[in-house]
Amino acid sequence: MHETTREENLTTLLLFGTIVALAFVVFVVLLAYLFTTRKNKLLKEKQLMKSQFEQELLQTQIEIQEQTLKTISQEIHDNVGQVLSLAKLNLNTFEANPEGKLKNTKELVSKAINDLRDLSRSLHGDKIAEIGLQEALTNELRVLQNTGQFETQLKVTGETYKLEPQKEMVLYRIVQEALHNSVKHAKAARLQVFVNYQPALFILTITDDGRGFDLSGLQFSKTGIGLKSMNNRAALIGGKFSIDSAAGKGTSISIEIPVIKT
Amino acid sequence: MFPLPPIYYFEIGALLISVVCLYKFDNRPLRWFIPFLLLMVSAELSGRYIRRVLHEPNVWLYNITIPVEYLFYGFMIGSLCVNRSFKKFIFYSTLLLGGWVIINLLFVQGFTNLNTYTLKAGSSCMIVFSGIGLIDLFRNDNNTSILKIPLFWICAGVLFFNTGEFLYNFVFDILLEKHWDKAAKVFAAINNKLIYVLYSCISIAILCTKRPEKKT
Repeated sequence: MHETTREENLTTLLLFGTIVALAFVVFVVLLAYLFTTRKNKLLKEKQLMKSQFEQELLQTQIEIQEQTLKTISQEIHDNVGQVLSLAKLNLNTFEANPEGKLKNTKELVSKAINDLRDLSRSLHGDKIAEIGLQEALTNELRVLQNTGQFETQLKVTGETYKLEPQKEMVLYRIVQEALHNSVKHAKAARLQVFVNYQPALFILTITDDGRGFDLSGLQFSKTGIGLKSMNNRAALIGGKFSIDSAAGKGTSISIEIPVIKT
Repeated sequence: MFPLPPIYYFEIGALLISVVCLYKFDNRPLRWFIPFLLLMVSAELSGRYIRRVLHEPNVWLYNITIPVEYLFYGFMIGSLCVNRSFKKFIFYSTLLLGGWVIINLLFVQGFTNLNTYTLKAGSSCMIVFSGIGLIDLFRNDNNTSILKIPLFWICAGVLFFNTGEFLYNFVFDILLEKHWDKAAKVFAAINNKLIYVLYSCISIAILCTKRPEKKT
């Protein structure tokens, strides 16, 4: 009898202990769930804030850059351009010097004016919005073609439409950066820009036949920083940036933007 | 032998789920669930066959498979932890436990007696390891919900099962010595319920395993 009571007491004790222990486990597991859920929520909020901050920073940087370029453009147009025009006028009325030299000087000054005009056009964001992306790209490639060192081509496919002015401006700056890289770093001779207007997708591709580079060693190079800036710009307008290059095989940069027609 | 109690179907179910989800495992440690569950199901069925059909003692079989279970969960939790110190601690402790299992089996309690010392050491280790696994999840900064992480379910299942068995394992020798069957019956019932929890958690862990993303 006494033994049975002891057995019952031990059983009750063990059962109670086990129930308490299991309840504690439930509490721990629940706590783990609640704690990590809260932590993940805070982490997501932090990441969102960080990404918003980066986006705003990038937007500000681009705005500042645009403002600077606009000021330079204004300066060239209003001051340098005016002075050179005046010089040309003076030369036109100056008849005492030998004719050949005079003619030559006039041509040089005319070229300077034209070059400055092209430069002004390419720097001014509003002008790009005014003349449209296609026209701006044509001008950009013409400037390079006129140097006599590059063979350029602009190929447009699909039924053309206008993108938002800000998008066109950003795309134009990406093309400028890409062409600048091709001329300066890639030592390219042939530069091509392909614009593909698809109903739901706008694809812009810039290719060169330059020396190319190994994509794996890109991260810390200057080219890498330039490409990152292009990538950031593309991201800003909701575009997908991709690059294809290999040593000796040229470079191809592509930006795809989904088109939402209203 | 037949009909089999429901706990067998839970074990077989977990095995089938692991086989179906094989494509998700890739080279990850979770793939070892397939041979492990196969071994567990075979051991459970063999144990039942030996006892019910051959009417022979099956203690020797459980003296082997229960430690394998402890070692496997130690290895699995250690592999899935992210923190290196936790990993090291669990792996070395599992090795020590493995050493103790062999010594106990060969020199202390032998094959024919239920290795209660191993059960005590094993369930203690499992509680500590699964606790460490949960702490590792606290410390890990990932955006995934904890409910979608296999380690969480494995730790929860192992922690539940071993906490439920812990006290029983510690007084098992007394119950056996005094032939207190009532307590043994109560704990057998608890153990059965906890097996449902354990294998359900393992099944969920396998189901919520995501296929590794291909790097582009």
